[in-house]
Amino acid sequence: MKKQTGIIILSIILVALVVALVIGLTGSETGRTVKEKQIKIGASLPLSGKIAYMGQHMQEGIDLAVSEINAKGGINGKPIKIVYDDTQGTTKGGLDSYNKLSQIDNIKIFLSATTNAVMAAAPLAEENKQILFAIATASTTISKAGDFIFRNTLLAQQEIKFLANSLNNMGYKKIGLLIIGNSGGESYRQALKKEFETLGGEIALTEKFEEQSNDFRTQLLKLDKSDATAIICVAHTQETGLILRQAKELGINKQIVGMFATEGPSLIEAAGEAADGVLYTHFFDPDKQTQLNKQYNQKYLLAYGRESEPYAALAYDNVIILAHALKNCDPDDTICIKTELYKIQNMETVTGKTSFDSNGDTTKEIILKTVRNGKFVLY
Amino acid sequence: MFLQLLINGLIAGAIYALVATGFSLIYSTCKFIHFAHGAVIAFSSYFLYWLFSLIGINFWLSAIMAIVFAALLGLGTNVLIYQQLQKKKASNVIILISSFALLILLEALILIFFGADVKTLGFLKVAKGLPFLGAVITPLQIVIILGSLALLGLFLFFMRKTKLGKAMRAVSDNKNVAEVVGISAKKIYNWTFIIGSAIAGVAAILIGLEQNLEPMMGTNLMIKGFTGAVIGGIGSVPGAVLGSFLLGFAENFGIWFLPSGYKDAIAFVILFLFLLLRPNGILGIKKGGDKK
Repeated sequence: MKKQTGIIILSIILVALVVALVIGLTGSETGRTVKEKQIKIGASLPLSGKIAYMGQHMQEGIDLAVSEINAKGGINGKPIKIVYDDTQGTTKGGLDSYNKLSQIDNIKIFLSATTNAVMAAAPLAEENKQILFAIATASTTISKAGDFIFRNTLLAQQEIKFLANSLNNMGYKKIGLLIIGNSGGESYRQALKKEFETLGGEIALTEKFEEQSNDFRTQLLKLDKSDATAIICVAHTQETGLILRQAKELGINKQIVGMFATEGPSLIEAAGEAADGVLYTHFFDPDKQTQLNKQYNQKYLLAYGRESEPYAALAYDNVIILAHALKNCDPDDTICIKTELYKIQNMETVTGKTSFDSNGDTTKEIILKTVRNGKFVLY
Repeated sequence: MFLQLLINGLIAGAIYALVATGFSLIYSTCKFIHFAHGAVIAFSSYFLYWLFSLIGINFWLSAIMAIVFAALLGLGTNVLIYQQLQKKKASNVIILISSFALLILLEALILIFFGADVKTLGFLKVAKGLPFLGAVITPLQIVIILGSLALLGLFLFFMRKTKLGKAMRAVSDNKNVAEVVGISAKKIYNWTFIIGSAIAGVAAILIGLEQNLEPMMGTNLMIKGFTGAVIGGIGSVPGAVLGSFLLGFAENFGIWFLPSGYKDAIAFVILFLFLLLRPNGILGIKKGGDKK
C-alpha cells in the first residue's frame, strides 16, 4: 500500500511538472504568435448545460463567418482565430471564462452571450479596456455596462414597444403573459406591462415557468380561463414550440404571440402543425432578402445541413461587424476598435441594417411575422 | 376545470412514476441510489431517436430495441461501475457519488453525439386532444397514464408470483440470509438492473414522444422521480408510484392557486416536509438489521 501511494504521488508531481513546462514554453510562444500572425478573438459561450443549443448555434455562425473571412485572406492579411470557452450560461462560468481567456490566452476582444456571463465579465473588460461584444443578450443592464461593452441583438425595449403597438392596433387590449422565470424574463415582463398600460391596455394575467420546463399545461389552462385575448410567450425557441403544441392539444384558441426567439427550425420540430398561426416579432424579412442574406443561408445550409437559426445569424453578424471595425485598426489597439465600432451606421448585415447607438447597442428594423404551413413568413 | 387539473396531475404523475418505478426497484433491492437511472432513460430516448428518426427503422421495432438497449445499458452500469466499486468495499455514499458522475458523463456523451438541439420523435401528429367530460386529453397521454398503472400491476404480479420476483424480495429483505438459502445476490442485482432499466426504456419511449428530447432531460426527470420515490417511501415500488402521482397532483393543483413560478418550490417543500416528518415516506417500512 505504502509503495503504491508513493508511486501515485510521484506520478502526479511529474505530470504537473510536465504540464507546467509545456504551458510555460508554448504559452509565451503563442503570445508572440498573436502579435505577429493571428488575430485572436475569445468566445465565451454556453456550450454545455441548460442552453447549450444557444452556444452551439452561435458557434456555428461564428465559425462560418471566420472561415469566410480567412478564406479571403483574413483581416489585413492576418487570419482570425477564435478561442472558445464554455460558460455553461452561468455567472461563475462567465467569470472563469473571461479570466482564462484574458490571462492565459491574452485575449483583448471578446464575444459573449447570456446576461449572467456578460455581466460577470463586463466590469473587468471595461476596466482593462478590452472589447466585449455580446450576442443576443437580453438584459437592459448591459446598455450601461461600459464604453467598451457592445451588444448585437434585437433590443428588448424596441421589440416590446413594436409588439405592444401592433397588438393594440389589432384590438388585443387584454393580454396574458407566459414568461420564463429568470432575470431576463422578469425584465421583459416589466417592460411589456409598462408598454401595454401606456397604450390603455392591461395585463390580465402573468404566468411563469421554470427554465427547462416541459409542461406548461396548467399555466396555459389558467391563461385560457382569464380575460386575456392574446397570450405572449417569453421563452426560448424549443419552449415556445412545446407551448404551442400543448396549447393546441388543450384546445386553446387564443392568439399566441412570441418574440424573436420564436423563429427557428426547432420551433417547427417541437410544435409541428401547432406552430401555424403564431405571431412574433423579428428582424429578418424573407421577401426582402438581400444578396447577403441569400448567400448566408446557402452557406449555412451547405456547412451544417440545416437552416440557420436566429442565434447563429446574430453571431455571424457579430464577427462580420468586428471584422469591419478591425480593418482600420491594429488588433491590439482596443481604443481604435471601440471608436470604429461606434462609427457603424446602417451596415448591411444578415440580420438587417445595423447601427450602434451611444450605449453600444444595435438598432434593427422590426417586423411582424407568422407561421403559415410550417414556413416563417411576413404577417 | 377541476377535471382538467386532475388530468394534468395524472399526466405529470404518470411520467414521474415511470421514472420512479425502476429507480425504486433498484434501490429497494440493491440498497444504493442509482441516479444514473435518469441518464439511462435519456440515452434510450436518443437511441430510439437514432433508430427511428435518423436511420428510419419501423417505430415498433425501434421501440423494442430501445427497451433492450436500456436494459443492457443499466446492466452495464452495474457490472462495469457499481460491482467494481462494491468489490473494493466502497460505501453506499461512494456509489451514490459515482452514480451522479455517471449521470453527468452519459449526458455529456449525448451532447457530443447528438448536439444540443431539441429533437422530436415525429411519430405522432400534433392535434387537439380528445374531449372528455369538459376536459381534454390526447391518446398518448391516456397511454402514458394507463401504461404506468399497467407497469405497476405487472410488476406487483411479478414480485409476488414469480420465482425471480420472490428471490428479489428476499435479497431486498435481508441479503445475507438470502445468500444462505442459496440465492446469488450478485445475480439478483444484475436482474434488478435489467428489469429496472427495461422499465426505464418504456419510460424513455413515452416521455420522448410526449416531451421531446434534450440532453439534460435525464437530470430533470431524475430529480422529480427521486422526489416522488422518497415521498412515497423509497424502499417501496408501489410507494414510488403513489408518491409520484401525489407529486404530480400537488404541483398542478398547487400552481392553480399559487403563482406558477412556485411549481418546483412546491415539489421541494413537500419533499422537505416528508423527510422531516415522515422520512420513510407514505408506504415505506422501517427495515432494521440490514446494514452493509
